[in-house]
Amino acid sequence: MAVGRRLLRRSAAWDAIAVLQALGGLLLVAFVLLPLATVLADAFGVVATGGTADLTDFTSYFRTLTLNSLGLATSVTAVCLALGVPLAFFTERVLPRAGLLRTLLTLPLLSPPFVSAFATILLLGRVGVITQLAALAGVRLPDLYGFYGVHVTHVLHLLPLAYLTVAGGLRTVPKAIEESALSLGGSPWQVVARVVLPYVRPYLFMAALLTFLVSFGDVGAPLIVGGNFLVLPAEAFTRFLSFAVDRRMPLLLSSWIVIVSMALLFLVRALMRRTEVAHTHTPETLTYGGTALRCAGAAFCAAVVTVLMLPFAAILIVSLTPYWGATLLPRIYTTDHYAQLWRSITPLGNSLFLASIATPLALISALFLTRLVHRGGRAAVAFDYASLLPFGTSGVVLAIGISRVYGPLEAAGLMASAVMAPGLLVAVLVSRRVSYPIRVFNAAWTRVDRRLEECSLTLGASVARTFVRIVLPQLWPAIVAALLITFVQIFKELGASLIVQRPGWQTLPIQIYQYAVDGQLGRAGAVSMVMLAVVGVLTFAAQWRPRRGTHS
Amino acid sequence: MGRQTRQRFRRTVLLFVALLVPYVAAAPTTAAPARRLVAYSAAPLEFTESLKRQFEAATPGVTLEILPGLGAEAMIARLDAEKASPRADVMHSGAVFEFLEAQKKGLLAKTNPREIVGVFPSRLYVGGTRVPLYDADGTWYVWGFSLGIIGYNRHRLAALQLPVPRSYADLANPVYKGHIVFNMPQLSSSAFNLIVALHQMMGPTQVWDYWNRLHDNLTFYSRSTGALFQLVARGEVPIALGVTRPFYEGQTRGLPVDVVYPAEGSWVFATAVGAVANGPNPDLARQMMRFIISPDGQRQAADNFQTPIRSGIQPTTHNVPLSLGELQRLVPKIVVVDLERAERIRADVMRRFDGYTAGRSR
Repeated sequence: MAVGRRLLRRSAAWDAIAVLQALGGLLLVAFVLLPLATVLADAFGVVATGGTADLTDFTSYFRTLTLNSLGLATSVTAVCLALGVPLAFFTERVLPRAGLLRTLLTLPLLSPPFVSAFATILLLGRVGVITQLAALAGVRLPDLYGFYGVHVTHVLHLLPLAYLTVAGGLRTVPKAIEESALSLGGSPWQVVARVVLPYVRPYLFMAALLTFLVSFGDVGAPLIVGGNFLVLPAEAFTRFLSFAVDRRMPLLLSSWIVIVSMALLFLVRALMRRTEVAHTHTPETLTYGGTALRCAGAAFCAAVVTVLMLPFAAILIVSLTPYWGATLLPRIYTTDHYAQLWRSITPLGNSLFLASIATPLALISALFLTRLVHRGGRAAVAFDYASLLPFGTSGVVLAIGISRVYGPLEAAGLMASAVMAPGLLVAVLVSRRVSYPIRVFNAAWTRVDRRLEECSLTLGASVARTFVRIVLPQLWPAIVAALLITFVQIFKELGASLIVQRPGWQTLPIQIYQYAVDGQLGRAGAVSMVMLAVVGVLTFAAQWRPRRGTHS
Repeated sequence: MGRQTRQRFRRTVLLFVALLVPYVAAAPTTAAPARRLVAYSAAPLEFTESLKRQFEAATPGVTLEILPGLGAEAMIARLDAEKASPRADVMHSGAVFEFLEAQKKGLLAKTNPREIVGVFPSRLYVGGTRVPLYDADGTWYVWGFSLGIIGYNRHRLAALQLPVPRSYADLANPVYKGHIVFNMPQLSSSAFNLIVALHQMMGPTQVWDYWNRLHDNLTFYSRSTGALFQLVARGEVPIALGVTRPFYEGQTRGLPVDVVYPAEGSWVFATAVGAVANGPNPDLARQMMRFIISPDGQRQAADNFQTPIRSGIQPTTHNVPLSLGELQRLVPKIVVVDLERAERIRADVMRRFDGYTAGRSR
């Protein structure tokens, strides 16, 4: 009787978890795989029927766009790694108490890249502050509008991403390995080059992949500072928006972005699998001594942080002035832009609402999808790759795919507008950002002690009870981290939102973008500061809570 | 299925219901109730925010939701995609020939001009040329004008020691190389308007000879009309080919911007409004159009630096001379764009500019 009840419990619990896993999988299939497959199929249809024959200079146009996009992403990745690796080394090994430094280094990730883009104009534009100072010193900086502008914007925005990933890797290197290498007579530089960096190679690949893909898929910065420098996502976006251009072009561009992104994902995943080792967080890491090294580290970190903070200073200043022209600083200051914000507060409410709906959905989907992946099997491998697709593919492309799949259903009246209006936006935000919690949970599942789980099941607890009482507490830090990352990423999403935006559902990033492109830089700056404040407060709150329960 | 199984299943379902509650709770605000009006607009965000406030104040009980800053081409693309089940009631802003394009695609509803504008002439004479204000079927109504100008930053031009250009021909002078910005006609009706106007003023062959020379002087093609003004106002690029509205607005804010009415002629950018065919709220759509053409709506337009079509409307927030009469006295030559020509050359212009903006052969 008791055995039967136990079995019943297990199957019932399995049902509940299986349902959640299935729903996670369904989300991935419905809002990632199907839309991207539709884009690919549509483009294949155009090519297969010879539909590109009449497109003038089609091949050279695509070649230029592809080379531009790959060149940009490669150079951004190289610079971010070149700066991010020493930065991570200094903060993790030389200046371990630099908590404020670490917090400041994450700040650029809290703002969307296009905010950095208009800050770059204020700093490095033709009449930018740094451009003027450089001119006074007799140095002529290159013209911002083009490759240089997008490159600088991306580096300022993505350096923290590379830094955080590498720093995370450095925390997994056991102290004993480095101590042994040092005791065998290696210099700090030799130990880092020959022991530490090879050990964290998967993290270096991951940092490179993340930086590359975000740079490759970004649409905001190329639209604002790209000038005549054309990249794939921005072209797909502008051509999708207009009826006046050939409707085949956004499809062809989108499918090409999917193909290139997928190829890169497979390549880097394969490389990572070859180098992967079972890393766990190590409680103790080595600190390298020496005054000279500490001074060099402090100077380097301070310089990088100062550069990274400059865009925020520029945004703050522009939000406090009616006009900032070709002078080093504005002559008049005002709080009018902030005073006017109350008249258009709806986007803030919309963003908070949409993020608060989309974040738990993304988290739950990710949690159960990664559980599925963690259990292994063929489907698991497929889902693992599929879960990376939203990260690798531009938000614009994903939104174009979703619009193509669900737009006709909506237009045919098969989906009530009440459900579709925020619903499609929520679906796009969830599918666009689900990769972030998936990455966090993938790492977290490897740290879950399977023996405890097995003990619990052996002692008669159901799968669900075991999951709630044994597994979930072990995942709690990861859940908090994923919650924060996902919320911030959803809150600042622009590219996909621009495509599927609905009347009455304008988000904060869309509002900033529209003010910025309308020439209302002060208003855009004020809204950006509000956005940064909201995200900053939430980040602080999320980081503050778990510290109270350090037992976890 | 045992009792416990059912309980657990119920719990799982309840969990999902709980997650969906806030989402469903949002539905009433997004549904299309009788008093919610949706407009797609090519006007800038600040303009649409002001329009929303004033329309809602003048029409209690009606909420106006505007999707702003789309650009006329994007509006048409969106309306076309939603044609089977339109979500919007009103198409707002954009040149008249964009409305003709939308009309051709069956995207605009017929209305009774008498009901919308009352007793009002269907045409105005500007610079000696007839400007239609609405069509017989009432599918579109012009509600305001801007003029095509050369906008520039006084300080920046002086700092670069460049003369103020007085004509379109001047801009092709190599001294301005890298100092002019223009936007993409594929995305902006005002940009397309300029090309049609030049085509009309210079002739079908000379216009492309001219543009090839001007193209060499352009620093880049912006994707946003608003960005043109922003670039000039800050001094990033000293000269832009644009329309009067943002430059007039900038002048009242004390920015060092000014406009030149080109010697060849300032082209009239007539901006229109129309009801979406089979839109959810045709009565509210007509109400919004009536408001836009009413003296109150025209004052809102004038306050936002658009020349009203009604005479005698004075702005309340600034002193910029905006009436047609004042502009005709101020501007040496006004050119009204030929709508038929616009339709005829559209495909060729788009093809050529695909080449210009993609850096390919022209």
